[in-house]
This record gives sequence, C-alpha cells and structure tokens, in this order.
Amino acid sequence: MTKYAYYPGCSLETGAKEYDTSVRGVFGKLDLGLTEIPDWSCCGSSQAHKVDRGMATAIAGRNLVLASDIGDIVAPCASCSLTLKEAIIELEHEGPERAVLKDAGYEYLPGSVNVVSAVEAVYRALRDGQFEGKIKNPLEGLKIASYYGCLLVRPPEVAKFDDPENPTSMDKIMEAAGATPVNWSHKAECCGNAYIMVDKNMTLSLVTKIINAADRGGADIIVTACPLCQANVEARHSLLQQKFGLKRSIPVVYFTQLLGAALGVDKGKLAMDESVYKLIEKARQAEKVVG
Amino acid sequence: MARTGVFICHCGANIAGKVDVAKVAEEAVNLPGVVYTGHQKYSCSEAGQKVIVDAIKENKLDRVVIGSCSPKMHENTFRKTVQQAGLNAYMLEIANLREQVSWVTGDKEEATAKAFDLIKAAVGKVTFAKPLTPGQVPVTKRALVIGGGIAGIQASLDIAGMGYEVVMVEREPSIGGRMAQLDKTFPTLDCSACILSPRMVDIAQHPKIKLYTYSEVETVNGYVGNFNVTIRKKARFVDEKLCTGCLECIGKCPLKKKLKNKFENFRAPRGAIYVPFAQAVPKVPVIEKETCQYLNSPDPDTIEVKEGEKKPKRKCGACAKACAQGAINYDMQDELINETFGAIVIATGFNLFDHSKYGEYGGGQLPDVITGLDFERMVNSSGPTEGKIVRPSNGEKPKRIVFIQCVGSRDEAKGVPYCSRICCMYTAKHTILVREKVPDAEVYVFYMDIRAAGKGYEEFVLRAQREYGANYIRGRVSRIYEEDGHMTIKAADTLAGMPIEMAADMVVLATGSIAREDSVEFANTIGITTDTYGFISETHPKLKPVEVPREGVFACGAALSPRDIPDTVATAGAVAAKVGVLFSNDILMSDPMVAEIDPMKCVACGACVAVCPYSAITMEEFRGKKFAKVNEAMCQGCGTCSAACRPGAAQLKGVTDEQILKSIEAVLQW
Amino acid sequence: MAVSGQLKSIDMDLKKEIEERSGQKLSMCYLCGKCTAGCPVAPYQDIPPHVVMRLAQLGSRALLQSKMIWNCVSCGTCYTRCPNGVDPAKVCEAAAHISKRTGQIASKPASVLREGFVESIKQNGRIHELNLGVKMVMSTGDYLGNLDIGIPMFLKGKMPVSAHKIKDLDKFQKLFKYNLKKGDK
Repeated sequence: MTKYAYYPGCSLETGAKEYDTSVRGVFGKLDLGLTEIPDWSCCGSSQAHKVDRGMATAIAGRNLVLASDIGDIVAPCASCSLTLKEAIIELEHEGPERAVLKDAGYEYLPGSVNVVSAVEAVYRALRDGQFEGKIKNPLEGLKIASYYGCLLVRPPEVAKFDDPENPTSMDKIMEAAGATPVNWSHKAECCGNAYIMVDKNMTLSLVTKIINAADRGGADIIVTACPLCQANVEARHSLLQQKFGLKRSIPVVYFTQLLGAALGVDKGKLAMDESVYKLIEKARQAEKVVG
Repeated sequence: MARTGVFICHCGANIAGKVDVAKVAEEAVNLPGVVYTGHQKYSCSEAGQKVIVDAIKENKLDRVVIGSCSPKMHENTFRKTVQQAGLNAYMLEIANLREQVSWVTGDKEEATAKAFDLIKAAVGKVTFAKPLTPGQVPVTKRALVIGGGIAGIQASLDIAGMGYEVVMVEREPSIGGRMAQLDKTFPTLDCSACILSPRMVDIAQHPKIKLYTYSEVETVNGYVGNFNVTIRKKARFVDEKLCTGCLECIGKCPLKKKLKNKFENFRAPRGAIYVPFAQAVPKVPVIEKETCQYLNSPDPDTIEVKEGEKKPKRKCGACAKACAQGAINYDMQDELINETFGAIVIATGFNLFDHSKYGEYGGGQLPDVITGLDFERMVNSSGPTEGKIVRPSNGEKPKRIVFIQCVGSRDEAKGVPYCSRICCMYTAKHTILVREKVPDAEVYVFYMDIRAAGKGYEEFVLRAQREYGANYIRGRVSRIYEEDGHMTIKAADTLAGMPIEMAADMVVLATGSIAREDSVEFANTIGITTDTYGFISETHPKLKPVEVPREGVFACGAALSPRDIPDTVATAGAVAAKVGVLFSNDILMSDPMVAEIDPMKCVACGACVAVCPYSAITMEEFRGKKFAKVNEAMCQGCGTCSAACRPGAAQLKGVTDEQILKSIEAVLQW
Repeated sequence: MAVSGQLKSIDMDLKKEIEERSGQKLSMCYLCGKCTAGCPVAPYQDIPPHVVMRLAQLGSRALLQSKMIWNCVSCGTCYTRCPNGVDPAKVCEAAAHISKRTGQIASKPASVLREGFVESIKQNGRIHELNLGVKMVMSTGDYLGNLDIGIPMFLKGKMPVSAHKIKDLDKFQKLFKYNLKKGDK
C-alpha cells in the first residue's frame, strides 16, 4: 500500500473543501494512504515567488522537511505541487535558502522527499493496476473535457509529468472510470489563476475561451485538478454568456469528484451538485440507446 | 658529428612579441651539435627561406631546427626549403614557439625560457634523425561517388569528363535525390525536373560511368589511390537487362494503394513493386522484399503436408504474370561487389526535421499542417494532387495559407541551433506558386529573419512580397490548433509589438535541414567524422571545404551542411577538380614517417598487430622465424605499435624512441 | 504605454540587476516573439513579453513603468516554448521587484495581491482568504463586482472570518528573509 504525506494546501482547507474530501475518498478506495503533514504551512504559491524568490523557496521548503519522515508528498493543488517541486530543485545544493531553513530549525536533506500532484498519484495507481474491479458505477457515455491548466504540466523540467502540449494522464484516468474523454484545444491553456482578483475582465475572457473550446469538443462536463482553475471556470456562466461570448454553460467539477462517483465514494464526501448526478445518469441512458 | 642549424622566426610580433628571439638564438649556439643560429622576421617568406637555404649551404649544415609556428602550418613548406638546400626533407625538426609558447604564456621571461627548452628538445631530437625516403604508391584512376543527387551527378559528370571511370552508388531505386522532388527552383523558377533529367540521363548513358542503384557501400578498406570497397547491390527482383520500363507490373500489384511512397514524402501510395517517380533513372521497378506478398509467402517446396492435402500456393505473383519480358525474378539475391578506387566522393545529401517534435504545432497530427517538402510535391503536377493546391483534410481550395519559417532551425531547445539556409528562399518561392495557382488565396509568412544572401535572392523575396502580395510578419508562431474546421494560429508581430490570433485553412512548416539518420554509421564505414549534428566534417571550413581528414576521400553538397543548388553544384565541381589533381599522378608519394619493425628484435608477440587501428601490420614468417611486418602504404604513422612493442622492435621513422629520449635528456641537462 | 522618449545608452546597472535577479541570460533572447504569441495575457497588456525582453536588454527604465511586468500570471507557456530556454516570466518578476523598490508600481492590485498574500501567510502560517479578498477589493476599487462570488463562498464556509494559525508560527516567521540570493537588493 503506497503511503503518501498529504499536503492539502490552503485552498483545500477552505475554498476547495470538496477537492479535499473527494481526494480523501478516492485515495481511500484506491488503497493509497494519506497522512496529513502535521502543522503544514502555506507553500507560498506563485505570489511569494513574485515577492522574493529566495524567501519563497525557504517558505515552501519547511513543508518538505516536515514531510520527510512520512513519505512522498501528494499535493492535490496544482500550484502547490509545482511550488513544492520547484523548491526541491532550488534546495538541491547548499545555499542561503537551506541556511535560513536550518536556522529556523528545519534541516533539509536533498533526496529526502518527492512531490506529486493528485493526478500523478492517481495515474500511478491506474498504471499499477489498482483500478482493477473498483469502478462500481462506470461513467458510460459521459463526455469529459479534462482541463489540466498550466501548473500540472509546465514547465516540463519542474513538473516532470506528462506532455506540456498534449497531456493525457487525466484523460486516461477518466477513461478508466468509464467515461469518454474528448479531444479539445484548450487542455492546458491558462485560466488566469489568482488574477481574477486583479483584472477580472481579462480573466473572464480567458475562462470563456476555455469553456467555448470544451463546447467545441462536445464535452458534457469539464474536470479540473486545481482549485483556482475550478473556481475560475465554474463561476459566473450567465455573466459570461451575456457579456463575454460564452456559447454554453458546462458544469465543472474536480476530477476526484467524478472519479469518486465512479468508485462509489460516499456522496457526502464528493459534495457534487445533484445536477451532475442527473447528467451522469442521462449520459448513461443515452449510451444504452446507442449501444 | 652533427652540424645543426637553428633558425628562430619572429613570426612578426606573434612570437617576438613575447619571446626574446635574439636571446634564444644566441644561447642556442652553445647546444651540442649546433654550429649556426640565426633569427628572422618571417621564415616562411621567400626572403626568409632564402636565408635558410644560403645558411645551410654556406655552413655545410646537415640538419635544421626551426623555431616557428605550428608544424601544421609550415612543416611542409620548410621540408621543401631544406630540400632546396640539398638536404633530405626529414632532417628537420620544428619547435612550435607560437601556439605552444607565445600564444599561451603571459610572462615574457617565462616565454623565453620555455622557448629555449623547446629548442633544446628539438636539437636533441634532430641530432638522431635519419634521412627518410617516401615510398611510392600506384593510383587507381577510378572514382567512387556515393549519392545520386545533383551533387553526386555533377561530380560524376565532371570526373568522367576528365576521362576517368566513375562508379556511382545510390541507395534509392532511382537517382535524382532531393532535386527530383522539387517543383520549381529559386530564384529562376526553373522547372527542377527539366533541368535535372537531362543530367540524370547523361549519367545513365555515359560510357565512363557505371551506375548501381538500390545499392549501398558496405565496407571501405585501403588508402588513398587504393581503396577496396564492397558494394551491396540489393536484390531488385527485376532484371535490369530485360526490363523495358513499360511499368505494366506496377498496376497489377495488389498493394498498389496500400504502401507509402517515400519520394512523395509518404503522401501518395505505391505497391510493393514500384518506381519512385515517372522520370526515374533507371526506369526499372524494384520489389520491396519486406512487403511483397509473394516473397513473404513460404516456398511450397519447403512445406510439408499430410497425405492427400494440397500444398498452399505462393501468394500473388501478379507482377511476374504481367511482365511480357519475363524480367521479374523472385529468386534474385543481394550481390556483393568488390571494386577498387583511387578516390571516394561523398554526396549523400540531407534529411528534413521531423515537425512532430513540435507538440505546439499539432505534433504531426493535424492534417492541414504540412511541410515544405509536402507542399513541393503538392504543387508539382506529377505529385499526389496533380499540382493542385488543396487542403489535405477535405480537398478544398484554401482561402488563407500560413507559412512558418524556422521549424526545426535556430532552435536550441530542439537541438538544432543552426540556420538551415534554404528555407527563407523556398518559402518565398512557395508563396509565389500559391499566388499563381490560387490567386484569391491570402498568404502569410511568419519569420524571424530573412536570409537571402545569394545572387538575385534578396530581389526574389521582395518580389514575393511586393508583386505577389505575400504578407510577411516578423514573429515566431507559438501554437497551432484546430477550431471549427480551420486552424487557429497564435503568433506575434514583434515589429508592431502585437500578439496575433489568426485563422488559416492550411499551414506549411519550413522544416530545417538535418543530417541523414544514419550519417554517423556511414561516416564510420568510410573512416571519417561528423560534427555534433551528424553533418560530414570537412578538413578545414575555410580553406579545405570539400576535403575530409581521410586522404583520398572528398565530400560535397548538403551532406556537409545545409546549402542550395548553386553551392552544391559548385562544391561538386570542386571535388571533381580535387579528384583530378589526385589522378593527375600515376604514383603518389607516401609519407615516410611510418612504422618499421626490426625482424631481429621482434619476438612475434602480436601486440602490434592487435593495437594497429589501420590493420596495417601482419605476421610473417621467413626461414622459421616469425616476425611482424608493417604495410607502409596502409600505415598512418600513429605510433601505437611502437608504444606497444616491449622489445622496441617497432619504431616510428622520424620519431624513434631514441629521438624522443634524447630530446627529453636535452631539456633536462642544460 | 507607448515606449516614448529617446534611448541615450544602455543602463548596464539596471540590465545587470535584472539579469541577476531573474537568473536569465538576456543575450540568449533573440526576440523571436514566440513568448508574445503564446502569452494568454499579452493581448490585454501595454507591452507584450518580447518587448519586456527587449527593454530589459536595453536596461531601459521605461520597463519599470509597464503594467505587463505586474500582470504576468506565471502560466509557464513562454518558458516552455522558448527556443532558447529563456524565461520572460522571471524577467517580469525581477523588473516588478525593482520597480517597486524605486517607487513605481504600474499595477497596484497586482502588487497588493503578492504583498498581501505574503503578509497573510506570515501572520498566520496559512492564507486568510477573507483578509486578502478585502485587500484586493480595496485595491481595485471594485467593491460590488465580486460579491457574486464572495457572498456564496462566505455562506458555504469557504472564507472563514478568523484565520487558522499554525502551531510553530514563530519558527515559520523566521523564514521570511528577503534578498537571500547574491546580488539581490
């Protein structure tokens, strides 16, 4: 049984609670152990790096040190996973960041810990055959646009995961859950992340392009693996339709919510709107007719 | 008793700027055996050489040390100088006071001291020099030309034109190379096939040229003037002597729509029996062994069946049935042909970058994103679309075509930092062809810089922009993706400082020139080297652009680096001239600084035979005594045998153990 | 922002500081524009990424006045596709940092986002969304425009009123040391 050190990150505690609960549910069904890192702190995300890069590495590094006794870290938030991966690279050699960490009581040893995102961990489980016999409610007929966003796959030297131009890991996960992943043009296009608070209109334009691309791909539903992508893409569809040229409102959920539904995770943990369950059922019925 | 002369060259300020040459010359007089020293500004000049010649004669010197630049520069020059004075050319030692002293030492005193040390060593070595006589090697006046593109064709015609026999070996079923794939050529817009075909026919009909197509060079042994080459003539399964080129067989092959024709850049079908294109030379089909149904079905004679059961027949055989001449022969085997040549010419051409490596441009999966070569075949009237420019996805006329430069060139991230030189020109050509054939189509070219340095080239590109209305925008394209039946291009105009999002129905990528995929293996077969990118390395990029470090081997055309047709033809002519120079000698003088083995000292341990990289040493026997013997013509003078020989039987002439040890002693003693 | 004025010479000090702080060798950039072509925010900015690169190469003070350097969202597209492995996003970050130090902040909300974020985690160990959200709303002046998101989140318990403070906050706060890297000031 693979045991991970669990790094929820700030958003999974609050804004993205359903990502946290659905991840826990999915990991439980897949026999992947999750031990929350005690007293973890904010990784700093891209904002700390913009203030001071050395400091940002030290801030992120604390969590690496705390996790090293537990195991490799799984960080469901794409931004956290990338920030922590970057910190591992920066801390590889002796330097001022390691010195600052040591002074504060955190001794970092290179090679002591690895970081994966939730998509990576689940994808590994899929490749290791751990989905065998576990899909209780296959999502037959459900057309899914897997939205990777930026930080899961870029930059490739840091993320070290999947193809930055045409990633397929989440698609394969959803396919294993019985769904039909669609081919669409904006799989890894940026949603604007935290800049929704800086330049709302710009971000909403970016989001509209993404959802329209999923529409062109014929998707019934969009799945995400990042709290910011989720928040940006799921919200304000009527405004987008009115003012930004959104063609069709498409529901957006975390990939673990849908995968959880397929695995038979308790509905309470998945926290999905009833409308999504109706959508799943509708697709299943349509598939029966076709099939 | 030696009578040594020491000449120190100032080399202008190159040596004298750091080394106190007068002092070195003064002190050298005291070295053992030195009876004359002098220094001069430029020893290699006519005046300088005269001083040396006169000094040798006047002082009856019998050996010379020259402190100068690297022997690589002027050793040959100074050998001739001492010969003029009546000495043997090998009674000479060069001390490199430039590259090894003045150019690498900061302090003048240190430099002068080191210079003197090197002079001491040189004096010590030359004291034990012996006169050497070069050997003589006959020259086989036949040339091997590897590659049947325009480079090989031009070289062959020029060499044969001088009266020498040429054998051309071409890997594909027909000669013609890349030029045969082109439609029109820049900047004249000549029809490529029209200017090439007559030359292809010349090759086929030339009395002095023997053509092996569908063949490859397998091994190369020997040395300049005497290369022994094994050529593998792959089985065509069609008898070239019987075939009339009627091509009846082609139409009968059941696979005729199934396999992909490499000549058409894999965009048109062919059968297992095929000719690559209509003007193929020779116009004799080949059967591809791997895909032919007949050849891959078992011979009934080799199958055992039970009583009463019928033996399964061999599959197909349609082409043989169709051939009125009985030219199809399924039993043909590869032929190994051994030939001897005095010179080898490499004209193996280039490949094109695989754009599927650009995931951002669709990774090779988007049907309407094609390459420059695809476009060339498309616009060619004998190509897959009979010359019509149409969208591959639906066969419709395109309304807007976007050309993208530098795909797989000037891109460090993809491992191809160099410029492929021809793409700016061929793209401008393509825009002109589009505007001629589809006048209402809009044409855009996304570029970084336009390289148009040839004769008439700049004017050609400007014509494409001004007369033919091609819209040139400076900026690399970031991404191409499909949207609602067209392509969306994410680009930029860096000059206006604006991002661009543009729709297009067809995209042509100007893919860069790269080396042939097996160029490194090929170079190993020939015994030469390639650069980091796999292109053949020339001996000197400026002064020896068509020679390679192996004597007697030459290279021309795009095998060396990306280049256009005029430069290719020019280098092919240059190679022919070099071959002509080589063949103008009936015998060649071989370098006398080769190894020799004293049979009396040799204990026949075989170490030298094992270590010789050129297989130049063999074991002989004479009156019951075994000993190793060096083939002087094959020996390249590397000295490995001498180093390996424990009894010291193997010695390198001109660099004997004695000479080396004495030169070390000389440095240490003074 | 039209880049106006007349360049008198290249400001080597500014250029050097940008190079050091960004960790990018500016001469590697040959201004092909691929970064601009793929940048999701470029169409909305005063200058695009390749002009940022050019101004950095020129050590031009005009760069410090641009909004683009603040509005880079660090999506990584430019760096991933750059043929020479240059990271314009890091150049933007470096320029923004220098720009703040010299008192020019062309995009106040972008500056508040990052400074506010860092302050928030320094105070608590984890982000206090409500606090940061209020700061952002005040910096953009868009008091009503985000209520459609803010109110439902608050009601769902996604924006707690009080922050979660970590146990080892004092140790964590020791990590907030600026200008660790050589050459940073």
